[in-house]
Amino acid sequence: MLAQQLVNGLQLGGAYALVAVGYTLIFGVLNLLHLAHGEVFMVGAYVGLALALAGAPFWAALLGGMAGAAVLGLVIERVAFRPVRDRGSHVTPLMTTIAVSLVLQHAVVKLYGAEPVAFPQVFAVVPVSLGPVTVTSLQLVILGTSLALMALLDLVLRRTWLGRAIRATAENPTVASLLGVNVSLAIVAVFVLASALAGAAGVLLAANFTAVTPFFGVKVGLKALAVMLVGGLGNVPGAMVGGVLVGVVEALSVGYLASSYRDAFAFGVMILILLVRPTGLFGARLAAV
Amino acid sequence: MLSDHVTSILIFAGIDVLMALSFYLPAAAGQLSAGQGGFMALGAYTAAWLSVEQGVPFVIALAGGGLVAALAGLAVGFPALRLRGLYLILVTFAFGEMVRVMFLNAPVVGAAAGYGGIPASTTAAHVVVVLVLVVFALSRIGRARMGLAFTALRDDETAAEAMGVDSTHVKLAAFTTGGLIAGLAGGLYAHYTLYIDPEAFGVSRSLFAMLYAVFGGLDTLWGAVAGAAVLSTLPEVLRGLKDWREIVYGLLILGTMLVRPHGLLSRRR
Amino acid sequence: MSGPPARSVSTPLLAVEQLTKRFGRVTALGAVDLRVAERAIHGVIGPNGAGKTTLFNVLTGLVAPDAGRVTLGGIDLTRLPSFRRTALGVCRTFQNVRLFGSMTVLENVMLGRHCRTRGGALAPLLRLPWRASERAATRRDAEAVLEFVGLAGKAHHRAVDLPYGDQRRTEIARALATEPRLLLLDEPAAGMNETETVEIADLIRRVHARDVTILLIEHKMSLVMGLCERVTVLSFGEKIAEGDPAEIRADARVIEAYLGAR
Repeated sequence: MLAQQLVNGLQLGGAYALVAVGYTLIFGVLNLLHLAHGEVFMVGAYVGLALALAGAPFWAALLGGMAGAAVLGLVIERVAFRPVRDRGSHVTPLMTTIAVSLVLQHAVVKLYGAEPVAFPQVFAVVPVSLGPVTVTSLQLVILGTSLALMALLDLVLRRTWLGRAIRATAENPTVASLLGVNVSLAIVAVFVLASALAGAAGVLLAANFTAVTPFFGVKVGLKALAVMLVGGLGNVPGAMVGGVLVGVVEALSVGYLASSYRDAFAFGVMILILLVRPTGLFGARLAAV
Repeated sequence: MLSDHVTSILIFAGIDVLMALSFYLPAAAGQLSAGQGGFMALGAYTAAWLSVEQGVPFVIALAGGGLVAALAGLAVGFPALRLRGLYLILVTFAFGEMVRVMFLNAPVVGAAAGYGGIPASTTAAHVVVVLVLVVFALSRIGRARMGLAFTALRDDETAAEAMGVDSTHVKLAAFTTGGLIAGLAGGLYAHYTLYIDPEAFGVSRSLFAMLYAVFGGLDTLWGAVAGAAVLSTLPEVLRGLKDWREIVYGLLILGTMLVRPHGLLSRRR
Repeated sequence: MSGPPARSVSTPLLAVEQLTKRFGRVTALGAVDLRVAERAIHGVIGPNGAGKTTLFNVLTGLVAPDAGRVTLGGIDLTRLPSFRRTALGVCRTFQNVRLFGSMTVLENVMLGRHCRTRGGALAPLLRLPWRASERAATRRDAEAVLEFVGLAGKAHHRAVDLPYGDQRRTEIARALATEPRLLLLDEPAAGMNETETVEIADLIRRVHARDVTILLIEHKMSLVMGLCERVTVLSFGEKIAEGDPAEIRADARVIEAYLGAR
């Protein structure tokens, strides 16, 4: 029973982590909260849904959702971030991204309606016995894809010139640009990477919950925000571990706490962490990846 | 006399202006809060409970809601002393969510089903009176000794301390007063909608309070007033657009913030 | 048998004992002792990184010391928060001018009156008669200080829009508005040309003539040697010399510290 909940939590947490990693990347590089990130996740889910409804295989729906979200991330960077990067107060980008999230939610309402749309069953979900626990093939796919994507991101950040550019920009944009780093490119790359991961999480969770609504991104976005806090603002590995942690805690508490108390618990933990250790459990900063 | 429809728009706009002011007040001292909805919830539930269960007069219920929210503001102010900028935004956001979830699990006030049977006491006149009092009080404070201390704290906290400003005192005063205003807004809201549920005071309530104030400009309290008045009535103006309404609304906010990133009434560009 | 009156007998206004502050493995202040006489102009010099600004930060309560004691006229300041020290009569300017960006020159100086006036958030609402006149009094006081530093004509400019020299004057005016007994000036002539330096020296003399004790950090030797009756030299957080300007100029360790720092 415990092991079963653990598996459920791992799979949920993996998807949370994908969204939170994007938050924390953007926060680490720009020191900004991207309040439409939950909507990027939601749009990714709808793109995947559209493809799946059109009969595309699951992997194609997943890639499509990622691509759609990445393009959206690019557009958001252009219209809501870049114009106010050096102008306005530091809450201005918060406001522009709230506006973007309103537009995106209602644009999707316009296209698909406000009611939940069922996600087609993309492949036969078969139970797989792993010792004492039984998992479905879908759960394995979700967990595997999340882990693979995070490993890939880690590789990009650590091993490529692009990753170095991103880390240098997070450390200090002025110094980075003096050293010849293309800061604007690094920022755009961060938005593309973060959004693609959110899009993947959108498709994965839509398949898991079997339905999506235009407001699907709000709750998950909030949860990812909590995950980012737990992991340390701007800390990518922290967000990965934090996502899994929050997912597992959430799944485990199902057995012990009424569902509506679970959120209170999560936010209580979040406040405590902020007060006791404002840099999160694993310390802040992206630069130290 | 005004039609019911217009009256209702005015009342909700007035409540939105109060919420914007409740965000503006701590913001004027550099304390950004994403949890004003939580204070509004406390004010609304307290006032409603006082009316429904205790049968106290409306004014007492309203004052009680304001008082509880003000005390909550004080309580949030203490931990907030240690935090700055986005960290503070995140903590206050978490506070707002805690409050929402708390009411979601409070059977005394209906839990998730919401709390009804609240007497219909709020009239447009009440909203106007509260609003005028709050604006009058804030504008007087703004021009006096404390107002200058607020601004100093927002501009440079270290320098303010070194020049003799007790930042702890000022921040607590800012949060307490902000809580009070949100609590009053909550009491007025509850006695107009007659039925409240926790979702009415969630993140989006808090973020919109912030949005109104920032949209209008954080330089003066008139920015918060103007921002809330405009954004609160704009959906009515856009009614003819039918299901394009929210999209256009969002685009108008985005466009305005891009043209005037410091807000409508700000002197800065 | 009466010798010349000994300076050390008079109780100092500021007494710093064994003040220590470490940042990680760096010792910014290593058991520094310092006594500043009442009504003195006392200079603190030393190479970059000697701990001068850290000393000011500890004295004004912006940084907590690891050990040691600070007293002002016998009152122990060591554990007091910054704003209380201002109320007791210690105020400062900053090396990298820190004026309130959204305020006018006048408002910056009026803020300096904060600790000498009363009236919290509720006061303006109660409309007590003497409250009504308080703002006017604050304004008059601030205008008088601006007149004194020679900025009366620029009262309504935004402070951060002023030329650098005027910003430094505004900072001094803001500090003076708090009615300090001890004024800490952190490189008041940094970035100034010769004329401006002479003018700021003149201003410091006039402040001193109002019975304000002055502790001055400065790199421009002409200014320090011309103004100060006593000079303390810090190097790597240690006090290496103290004396009148002539003694300091002749001190071998001081010369070494400056040459060694090159």
